[in-house]
Amino acid sequence: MGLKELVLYMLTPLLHGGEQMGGHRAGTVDVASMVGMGLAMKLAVEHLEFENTEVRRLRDKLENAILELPETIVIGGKENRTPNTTLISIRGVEGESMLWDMNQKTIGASTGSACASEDLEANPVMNAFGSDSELAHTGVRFSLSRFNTEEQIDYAIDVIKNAVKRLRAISSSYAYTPLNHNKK
Amino acid sequence: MAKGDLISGSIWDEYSNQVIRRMDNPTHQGEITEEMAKKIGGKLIVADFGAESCGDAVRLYWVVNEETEVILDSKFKSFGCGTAIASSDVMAELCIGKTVTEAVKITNIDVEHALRDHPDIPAVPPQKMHCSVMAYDVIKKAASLYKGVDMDSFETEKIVCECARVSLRTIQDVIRINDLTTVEQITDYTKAGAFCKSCIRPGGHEEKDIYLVDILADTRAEMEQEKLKEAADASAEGRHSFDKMTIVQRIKALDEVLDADIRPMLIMDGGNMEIIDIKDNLPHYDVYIRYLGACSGCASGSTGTLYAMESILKQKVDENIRILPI
Repeated sequence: MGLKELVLYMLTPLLHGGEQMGGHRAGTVDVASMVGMGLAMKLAVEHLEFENTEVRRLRDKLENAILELPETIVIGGKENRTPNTTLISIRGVEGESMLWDMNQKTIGASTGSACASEDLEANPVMNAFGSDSELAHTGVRFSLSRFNTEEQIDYAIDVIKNAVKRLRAISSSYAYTPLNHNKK
Repeated sequence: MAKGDLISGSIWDEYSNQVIRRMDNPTHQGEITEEMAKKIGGKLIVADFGAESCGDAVRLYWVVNEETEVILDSKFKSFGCGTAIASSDVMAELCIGKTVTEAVKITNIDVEHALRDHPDIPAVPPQKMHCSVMAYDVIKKAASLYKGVDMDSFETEKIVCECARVSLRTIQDVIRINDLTTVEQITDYTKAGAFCKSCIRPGGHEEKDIYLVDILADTRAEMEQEKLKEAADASAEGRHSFDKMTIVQRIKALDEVLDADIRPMLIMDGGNMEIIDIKDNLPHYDVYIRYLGACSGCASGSTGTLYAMESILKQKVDENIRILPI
């Protein structure tokens, strides 16, 4: 048995159906997808530096603005983190209700505890970080991209602050005092 | 994988305008203090249900008139999703003006119905139905605090599916009566398991002490056992279906029923009857009888009494029996 035969013998095809290469290739290679993937990779590499500077700047701006609110925590260290995301815990505000308010204002975000996905368990990341079980349902994750603008981030900050104010006033587990929310 | 599985977001379109309105602007949100309750003229009840660490918590405030038990005012606070907040809001509203006893009868289903825009269109997507259950639980909690009793005392039945409020007894009955073999069938017949799906099998978002899969397996096992026992008894007692019986067995089978259910009534009126012959007249079995004593010549012998006897024998021996008095 030659090397080629040995390799083919050892490999299990991921996709089935085609007879080429001894049944190891399912069919004609999808040229369009390959070209698309190649271009996507090229663009991603070209914008790597932009993401690490400009997108990071916008992410930090968003993050810092939310952290001005009392009793908010960013999960994860600042340095060794992807530059475009932030997972923030807002005490007293249930994550999905936060998504509701933001969705009403056309902002998309996610929770680890997405009730909508039939899984109401606490965000596993938050649990892994050893956060309070009380905070486990308060995580909201924002993801930015190179398409986001400064205006969008300013708008998001505004919406988030108002939503936190409103939802903390309703919250059964947060003693809301307007003073807390007005101080800089 | 369907497109719907890949692209989420459609869930936002499944809420009624009522849910959206109440979530965006809850009208009964807030606290009631002792002083406020005193001013209104009632006893303050503050009930907490759920926990922040479970992702859902609600606090219900009631001001109850201690003479009439009428809830004079009601407000809520909630750590929960949009459905939980909208449900709590409508729940607090529904409590006002009711007595404590009446309020306990408000279920999560009433709350969901009150949130509908159109009577036939659900107010929330199925997986969110569960979020209205807490509104029901906290009412029971408040009532238990007011009356000084245990919360469970308000439940008369064991509820398996809280979203659709389906009891254990209902599920067992529907399995038996309709000979159901799958959980999907149970859901089709009762709506149990159609919403948050926690009650179907272990591993859902909420742990239960009993699941539909177990109820189905247990009930099927019981039914199977009963069937085996019945077959064994029939063989031991020599019971077969009417068409397989010898003429002696047939007469015996008929006489047993006649002695138990029919003759006592005839004898009370000073009459009786006897079997003369049984003839196969397929698909019927013709039973020839003769009335005795006061029964002979009685008008009812060819009408009411005859029909009654026939229907009892049809029911207890074979549905194809006909009685012919000679």
